[in-house]
Amino acid sequence: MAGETVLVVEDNKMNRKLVITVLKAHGYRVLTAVDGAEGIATALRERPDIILMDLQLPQVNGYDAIRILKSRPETAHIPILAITAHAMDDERKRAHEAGCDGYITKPINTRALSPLIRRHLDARTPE
Amino acid sequence: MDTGIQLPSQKSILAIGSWTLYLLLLDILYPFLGMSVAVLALVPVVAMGWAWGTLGGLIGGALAFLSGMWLLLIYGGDLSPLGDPAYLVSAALIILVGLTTGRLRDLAARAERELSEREKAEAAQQRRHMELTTLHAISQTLASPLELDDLLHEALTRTIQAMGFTGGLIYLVDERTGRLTLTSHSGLPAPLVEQVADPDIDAATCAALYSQGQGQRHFETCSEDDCHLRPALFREAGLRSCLWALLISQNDVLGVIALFDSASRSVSGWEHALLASIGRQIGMAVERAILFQNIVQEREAARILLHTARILSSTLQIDKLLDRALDELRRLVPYDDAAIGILQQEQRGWVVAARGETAPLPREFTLSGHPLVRRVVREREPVIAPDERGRSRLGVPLIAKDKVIGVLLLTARRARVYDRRQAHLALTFAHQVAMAIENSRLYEQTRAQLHEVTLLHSVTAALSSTLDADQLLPYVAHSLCEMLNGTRAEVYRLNRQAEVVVIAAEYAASAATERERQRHLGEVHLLDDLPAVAEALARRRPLHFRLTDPDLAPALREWLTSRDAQAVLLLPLELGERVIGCALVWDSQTARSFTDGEVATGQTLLHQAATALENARLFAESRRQLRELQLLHDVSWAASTSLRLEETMQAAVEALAAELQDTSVALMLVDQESETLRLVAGVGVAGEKVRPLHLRRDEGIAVWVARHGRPLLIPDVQAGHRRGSIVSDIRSELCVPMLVGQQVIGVLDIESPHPDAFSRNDQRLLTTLASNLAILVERARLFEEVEAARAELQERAVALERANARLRELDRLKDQFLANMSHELRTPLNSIIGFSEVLLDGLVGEINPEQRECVEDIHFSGLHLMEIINDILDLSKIEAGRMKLRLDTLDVPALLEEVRATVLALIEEKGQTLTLEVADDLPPVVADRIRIRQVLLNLLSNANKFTPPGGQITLSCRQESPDALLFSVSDTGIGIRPEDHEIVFEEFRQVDGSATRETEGAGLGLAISKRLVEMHGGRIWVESELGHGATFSFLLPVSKSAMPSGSPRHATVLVVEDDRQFSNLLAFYLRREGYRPVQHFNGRGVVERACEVQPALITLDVMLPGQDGWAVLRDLKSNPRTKEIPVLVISVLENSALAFSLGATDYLVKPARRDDLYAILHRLTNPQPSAPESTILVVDDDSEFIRLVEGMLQGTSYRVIPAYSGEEGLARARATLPDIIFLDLILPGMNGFQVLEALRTDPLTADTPIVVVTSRDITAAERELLNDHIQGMMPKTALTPQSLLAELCHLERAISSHRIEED
Repeated sequence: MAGETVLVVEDNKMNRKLVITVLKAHGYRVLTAVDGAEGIATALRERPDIILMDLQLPQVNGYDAIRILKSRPETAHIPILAITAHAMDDERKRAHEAGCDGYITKPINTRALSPLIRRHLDARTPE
Repeated sequence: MDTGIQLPSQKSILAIGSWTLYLLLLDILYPFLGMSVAVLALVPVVAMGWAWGTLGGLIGGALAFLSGMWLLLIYGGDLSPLGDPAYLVSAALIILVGLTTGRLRDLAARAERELSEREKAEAAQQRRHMELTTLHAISQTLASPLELDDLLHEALTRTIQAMGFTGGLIYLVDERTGRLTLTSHSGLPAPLVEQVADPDIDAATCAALYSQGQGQRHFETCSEDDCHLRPALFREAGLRSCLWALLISQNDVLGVIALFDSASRSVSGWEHALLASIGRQIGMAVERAILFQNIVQEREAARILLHTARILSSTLQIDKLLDRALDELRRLVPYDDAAIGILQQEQRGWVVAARGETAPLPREFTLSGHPLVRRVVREREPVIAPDERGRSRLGVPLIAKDKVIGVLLLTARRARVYDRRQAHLALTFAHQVAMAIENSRLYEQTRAQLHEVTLLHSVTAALSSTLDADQLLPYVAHSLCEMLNGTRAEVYRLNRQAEVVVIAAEYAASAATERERQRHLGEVHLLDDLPAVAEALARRRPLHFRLTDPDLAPALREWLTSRDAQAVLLLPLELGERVIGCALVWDSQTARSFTDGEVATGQTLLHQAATALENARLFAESRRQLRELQLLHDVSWAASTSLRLEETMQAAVEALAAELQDTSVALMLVDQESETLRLVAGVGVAGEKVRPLHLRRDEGIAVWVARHGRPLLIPDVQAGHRRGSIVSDIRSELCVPMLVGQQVIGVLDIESPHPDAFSRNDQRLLTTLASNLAILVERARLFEEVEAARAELQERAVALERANARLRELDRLKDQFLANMSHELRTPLNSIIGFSEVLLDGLVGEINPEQRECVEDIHFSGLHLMEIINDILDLSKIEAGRMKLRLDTLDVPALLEEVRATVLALIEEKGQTLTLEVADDLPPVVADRIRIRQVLLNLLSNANKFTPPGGQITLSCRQESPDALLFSVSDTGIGIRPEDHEIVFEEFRQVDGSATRETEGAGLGLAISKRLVEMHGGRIWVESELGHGATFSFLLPVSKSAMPSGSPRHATVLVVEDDRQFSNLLAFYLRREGYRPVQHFNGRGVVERACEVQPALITLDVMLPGQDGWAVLRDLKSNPRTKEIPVLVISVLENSALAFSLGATDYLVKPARRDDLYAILHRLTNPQPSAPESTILVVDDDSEFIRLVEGMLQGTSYRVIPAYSGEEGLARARATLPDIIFLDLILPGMNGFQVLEALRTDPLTADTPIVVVTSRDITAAERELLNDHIQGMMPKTALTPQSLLAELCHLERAISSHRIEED
């Protein structure tokens, strides 16, 4: 519980709120963005420790946002977990191609969320 | 002093007589006269003085004194005479008178003598003068530059004149015989001359006779015996005397000169001497003349020889010059007939030059037949043959290089013509000739070799340059005739049946006889009539015959004679192993034998010719083929431009007319209904053909051909017997039937205004064309027939397609709806489930137990709803056939363990126990892990639900058969009634309303499970009794696991085919590839059977008893249990559109090719869901074709990149780097070959597989050109989806293996 910053990019308000609730309960500092563009801007500005990125986003979609973030030296090292629909292989494949580090399948398992994030944070290469 | 002897004789007689008379008178008269008588003594004294001169007078006086004294003594007694003075005075007077008389007499005698001597001197001088004049004249004559004969004649004439004879002869000694020969005569009667012309006297005899002093003859006195001149002859001629002398030069007797006189005259010594002198003169002159003549002859000989040598050496072609040389020789060595014979072999020879009327040698001779020749050859020296029948013969060897190469034979009709000198001359001449002949031979050899080489070269060049057999053979005949020096050459062609020869070419040299010049070209002979040709062909080696061959068969002799020939050489004309003809070289000049060299030359030439002929034949063949192909191509091209029969045929006819100039072409088709031939297409057609011809009523060539179905070639209409069919300017006509099988569907007729315009080749070509056209006609007709049906079908297909599209659209909408639905449903559910979990987990603070219970309800309901939604989505996916299995090798025990772990919480919650029974050594199974897990979880979840707490649940897996694994979930729950065993697997069905209270779920779990199991090729069922628990089992085929790569081995294929043979064949094919065929022979029950065996593939015939294939296909596709199974329609009907529209996966037209079948099987039973897309660049100016390929590849992993020209293709290939390139060869601008080359030379595209797709036929040469550069070739006409995919499949395999090699 180091109070790492988690950026949640999610357009659906209910989902966003659910994730925020769960993460805050687990002691994370949570930043939010509602579309890809805002997500990118926030990530560049705030340099979160990890990003949860929904793929179906208005304006700049999740794939592009991941690709951009992974192409910028400032953010390339930040783990990005894609929030994908239920067993949508296609989405997973595309997200992987875009450069994401892991997946969170909808419906979000609130109990598995925190351990997953923890695992990714711990797997980060020490700087 | 002859004269002194003569004169006294007369005078002394006078003196002695007078003295005697005196003494007589004294005796008588003294007594009378006394002493006076003494006076009388004066007379004798004077007489004595007269007679004997002074001395005689003195003696007479003394005698008279003495006589006086005597008288006195007798008559005077005592008278002393001395004392008588008278007496003394008288005596003195008498003596004085005697002395005076004697003195006078002496004086007179001296005067007379002096006078006589002067006369004598004068006569001698005169004689000497004459002699000198004669000799001078003669010597002048002899010195004059006359021919010897003229000279002798002149000398003779002058001698006769000078010496006053009547006539004369000159004989010369014949050098050879040594006998006298009359050389000149003058003033003698001709008969005599003839008779004495050849006296049998030799020079030695003459010399002997002459030395015996018989220089003069008197024919009256000499006897026949001792006279060699047969005096009687001369006497008869009125000749009396003869004076002759020898002609002498340097002690050699060269001849005799004889003078004859009609008077018997005595010849003085000087005349003898003169004639002897003349003889010497003449002798010298003869000698000189002979010498001169010799010199002249020598000079002439030298000149002639030089000339001859010059002639002979001036040219090396001596044949004709030898005659001239012989003419020259005649001036050197006289002859009447001469011949030069050349020895060919040891015992034979032939004459190369001859002069004179009768040849001394026959044209061909043998040594045995000519002893003289034989002797000459043997002795190697000139031979002067003994004369026979007054003829002289001389044989001289021709020696060159120490070898007798021939003979020169001279004959003269006179005897003794030839002597050693002439032999020598002839030998010199012969040497020249021999040298010349030898040189000529060498030259000829060299020239012949050169000529041969040159000729062969030129022949070879000519032969290889011409590819026209018609030009070739005359050339061969010409060359052969020239090279082998024949007078005529012919080339015979043997027909294929080897029974007839045709004279294909002939050539007559300038030396040919009239008969040989006759033309025989084109004549046909039975081989049986030409035994020599037959023999040469049969023995396959050269033969030659000569008229002079002793053992020549009579038939051959007759043959040669009939051809006016002396010799013939036959050379077989061979082509590889086949004898295709024979060349004949005739010689009408000599019965010569052809030398090995000539035969070899001929063979070489013929070999060349044969090669050239073969080339020509191949050329003609390929040209013909090219022409045919061109025509056929033109026709097919024309045909492809239109599907309308008339247009196609017209295009074909025009193409044909363009090929055959000045020819009208008519294409008439049989109209079966009206039984007529109708003109369908034509170029330049006129006359009867423009109207329909009735097959039975009308006449004519076209009708005949249509009726009989056989081609008819009329070289000349007007010459033929079909006068009825003459149409103004038509001369030749060729008509061939258009046959489909045995049926005549029409005729193709061509006509030309020229006779012999068409050949058998044309007929063949036209026949081919006609059969092609017939097929085209049939196709066009069928097309027209089919077109209607097709149009109908098309409509149906379009309608179906439209319906299908609508269905697809609906389906898509449904899917979209479901997807949206699921998304829309899930999103709120997410929140419901998520926030209830947040509450339950106390993340936002603790809740009391009542609240917790509520939240738990919310949470559970949310989960349940989520499950239902997922099930519905799954089911709809499966229903739509969109559920895709992600096949992977399963580790079954691990999977079961995982499943157990997942459900363990639920089981334990109800106090149930879960037992896991997993057999050892389970084979790996290829299956979709998620889906099998889903099935197992579903079954376990059901068991959990329907088993009361404390119940027993068992999960087991074992190998049921080699083919399948059996998974079972057993419980001790409520069980299911047997009648409900099937129902439980249906959607939205739950067994009993009462049970629903106890259990949750939408009732979709088992339905989904069933689908999933079946998708894996397995089946699921339940065994249960109500109240006694239930066992749900499913079989998962292990067959799919045997091949880790997902191979179709042992996959079941349902073969629906009523033709048992074909069904068995398919089954055989399938088994060979490792499939398990299940055969079904009826249209009914297919769906049931498919449900039963759950095949990986169904092959479906269309024409089936019971129910047709289309209906079966519809049923299969409308049944959810079979709709996933790929269906391969195999039918004789070409209606893939309908099949595809009804949902067939693929289509094969019977008879199906095994490879096509395999390709489809491989593809259909090896789904490659994640196969990356391959790009195919299709380069073709035909956009239709590109669209066709696109259509065929729709639904596959191939994407088509179109390019409509070579240049575009090249650019696109470089830009897109396609995986495969399809290339048409005929392109506007850059053609296919150029594109190919450019692609291959560009490193970017050098390795890209290229398939040539073309509508035209590829020649062998082009194929060879292409083979190294392309990976495949597909004719457009053969392009079907199957062949295309088979080709692609093949290419991909090739590429992947290539890549593996590279790695």
